[in-house]
Amino acid sequence: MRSRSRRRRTVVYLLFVLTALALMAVSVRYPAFNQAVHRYTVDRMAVVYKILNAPVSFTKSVGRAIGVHVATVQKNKMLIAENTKLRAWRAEAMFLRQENDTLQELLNMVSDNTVTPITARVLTDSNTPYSRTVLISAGYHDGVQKGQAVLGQRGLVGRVLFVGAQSSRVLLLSDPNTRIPVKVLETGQMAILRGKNTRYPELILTEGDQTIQPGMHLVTSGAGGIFAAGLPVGTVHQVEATVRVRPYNSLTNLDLVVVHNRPVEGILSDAHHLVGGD
Amino acid sequence: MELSKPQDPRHIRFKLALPTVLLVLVVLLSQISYDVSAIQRGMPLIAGGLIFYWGLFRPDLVPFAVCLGVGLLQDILSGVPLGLHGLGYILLRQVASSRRQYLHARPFHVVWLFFIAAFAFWALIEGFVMSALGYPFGSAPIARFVATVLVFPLVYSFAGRFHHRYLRQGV
Repeated sequence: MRSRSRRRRTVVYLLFVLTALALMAVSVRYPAFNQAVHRYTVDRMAVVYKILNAPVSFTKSVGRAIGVHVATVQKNKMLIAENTKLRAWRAEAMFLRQENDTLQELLNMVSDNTVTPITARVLTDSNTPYSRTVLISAGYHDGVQKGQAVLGQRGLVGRVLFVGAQSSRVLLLSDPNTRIPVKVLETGQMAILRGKNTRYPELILTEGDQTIQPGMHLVTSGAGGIFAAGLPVGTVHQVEATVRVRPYNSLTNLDLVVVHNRPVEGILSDAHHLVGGD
Repeated sequence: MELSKPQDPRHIRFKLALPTVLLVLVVLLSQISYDVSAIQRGMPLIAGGLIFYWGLFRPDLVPFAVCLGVGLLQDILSGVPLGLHGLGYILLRQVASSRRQYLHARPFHVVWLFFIAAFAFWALIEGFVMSALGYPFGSAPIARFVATVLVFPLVYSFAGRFHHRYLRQGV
């Protein structure tokens, strides 16, 4: 009797193990299945996360307010000095802008000014040791589309991987599936930024690495047509066996982000296995 | 001797659901962005510790269906293939419940060692699956493993108190 009960428990256990394995196989093989589950569940969970995030957001804002208050005096002195320099830059920038507008008019150039930013709050972090994604509080009802660039306060943080009705999942620059065409501002060299699941993504140079140096600035190149050209990405952090990049925007303490709402026309990779592509 | 009053069946059902509610809450809270990079890189798997505890002392309260369900919720929220966490939780629950009689009579460090072994086994499976999907096995999984193992005594202690406080009398 006892052995029969034990056998029954073992059978139940094996059935559940097989169910879990089957689900894993299906979700890897058929990303559309994953997407349907995601759309159905995460959109409903978005409301729960807005509530759960409220105390965390409040604590963050209080912490930031205290930090800002403490640093105000020192920062003020620095800002006065910086402001003097910026006034000179402003005058020069205005002149250049005017000149640029005139030249564009002369060339009859079509400007790429179709961007309407969508501000969203980060609801959840993947918090897994493998992938680096976050869930944000804007979906296709807000105009978000798959592949659009997502920026923090200082620069690019990732791209929209999956869009639900009220929420979207963003693949961060540090995720190993990230590949973003970038350009070195100083030299014009083209390169690919690849996530390495660390703070510093890797830079793969496509035109030789003779001139790359730490501190050089990187922007999106616009190659492939997914991202607009010129979005700030980061600086070269380290040049050794591999070139590492320090993103302008921290990828670990995201709160508010802006989706660069611009029609996506390029080729999007569907290689991401986690929540899958369209 | 005074006999205790029979409890309301709804009250008992509510108490029996508490471990599941606790697990769901832990999974939900583990997905919030806390702005602490150390936590994000090595977020301990608290639900795993809780399931191991319940598997050891009250496996009837966390059946395999609950383990799979909680795991699926975590998979969906964290964006990993469905079934990955569920498999881990089922394994932890099975290791704990199948060694109940042995572990009940042993000091805590033996229980801890069993948890480490079971969790390491699942972490290897997870690493294998994720590597097959193109995710390199870096330092983050090791950080998560160490964090989970170190947090386990606290989780075990908390679950023990919770168990004695809410689930001992008449349940």
